[in-house]
Amino acid sequence: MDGSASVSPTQPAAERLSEPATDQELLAAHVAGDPLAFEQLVNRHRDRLWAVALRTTGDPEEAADGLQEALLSVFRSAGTFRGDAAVTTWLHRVVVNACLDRLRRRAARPTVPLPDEEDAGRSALADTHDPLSAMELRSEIYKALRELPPEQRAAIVLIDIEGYSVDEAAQILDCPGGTVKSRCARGRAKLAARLDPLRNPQPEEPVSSPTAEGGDKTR
Amino acid sequence: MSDEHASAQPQEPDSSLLRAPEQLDPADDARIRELLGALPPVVMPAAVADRIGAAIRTESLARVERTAAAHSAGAGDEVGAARSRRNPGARRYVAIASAAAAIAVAGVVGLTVAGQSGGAGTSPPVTAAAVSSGTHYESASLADQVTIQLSSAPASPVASIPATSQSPSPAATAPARSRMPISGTFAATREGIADCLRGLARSQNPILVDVATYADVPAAVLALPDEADRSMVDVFVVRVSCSSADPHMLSHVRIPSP
Repeated sequence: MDGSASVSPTQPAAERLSEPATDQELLAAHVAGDPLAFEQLVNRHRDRLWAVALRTTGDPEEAADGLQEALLSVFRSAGTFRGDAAVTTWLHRVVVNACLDRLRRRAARPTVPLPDEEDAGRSALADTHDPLSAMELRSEIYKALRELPPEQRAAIVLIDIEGYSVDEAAQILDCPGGTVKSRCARGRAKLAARLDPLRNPQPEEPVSSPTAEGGDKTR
Repeated sequence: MSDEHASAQPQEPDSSLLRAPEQLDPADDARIRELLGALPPVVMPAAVADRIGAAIRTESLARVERTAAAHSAGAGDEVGAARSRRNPGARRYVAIASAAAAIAVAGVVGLTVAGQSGGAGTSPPVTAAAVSSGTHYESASLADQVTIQLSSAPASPVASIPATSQSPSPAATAPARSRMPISGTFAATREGIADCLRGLARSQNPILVDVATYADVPAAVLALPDEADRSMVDVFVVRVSCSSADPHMLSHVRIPSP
């Protein structure tokens, strides 16, 4: 994913306009003192990092705080990066950990959500141009995601929503791939239990269809 | 395998979750995955991007200043200058960081000085936006620092300050760098800048007027297009007391137009 080319400390990555620097080159340039390289690296991945933070916390304020805390932590500790994983994986790992830590701290200090918290989350997460039913469904999905245990939610966000492989998610979450799969499976089961009644409400009485394709299939 | 943090969930679980099976059959599992995968991508809001960018630039500036302080504490000026000559890259980093971080942190004074209308015909046409970038200009890095300033557009639209106002207050110009004597007495008005340009015997419209410091002295940096060679820019550093009577010039360099 990342290149492994070395970086000359006398040549800021931002100046090498002919070819875009790899993530690893930007990180090395930052460590070497280039003041623009880290921001360039963050800008390159900011939307995905934001998506993971927002969907892991379910709260735009928590997401922004967690993301900023994580990125400043990476800024300061960049010299310790050993390169045994992709730079983006490391970035995501620190961001997810920061968000999960915030959720745990929040759980230890329960607060009453503000009345407009739901609306704020919805406006940040939903596309307001979609039909109402789709918006409502998404809102229910986000609500159901927020009700999952944080670790299951993080696994589902990474794999099912953001499209990371099990191996990548396992590196980000720093746990075995089997654990990631298990968290996803149980999280999906809970989501299904929460969402299916909304999507497919059960009729009061069984109704046999008098029309179409052979009609009643009773045996 | 268990989820050791399951009890850390922030809210009471919905009762339906408590009844949820541990696993779905493959078809239902795929259906939920499809539902989740269809969620639209989200984009970082501009306000969050601005906030995080500012935090990173502040951190970057702090790092540059820590490095510079460590160097100056460890060696005299001559040694430091020699080091800087040996390592132009490091010098450039400092220049870029000072300029880029200061633009974001200190902001723009926002002194838009409209050209004189109906005034004396000999006054230079001043339309530049005077800024107070917070940059510590230095002789060795002046060219780089001005190049970065000219290449960097203000992050936000400049706020208008009445053209007759005097020097901006330090609090309004550099809230995050209050130790810097940034205001001086430079009359960053259209009249003040025009008067200074007359002292420099220049009539071009400046493309940069930065009220900052030069070698730790309050100064103004003015960049003017070179009339003879449009690919070059004339950079004048003057004391804040610059006037038509005496520009109090501190430095003059020509740099390629960015």
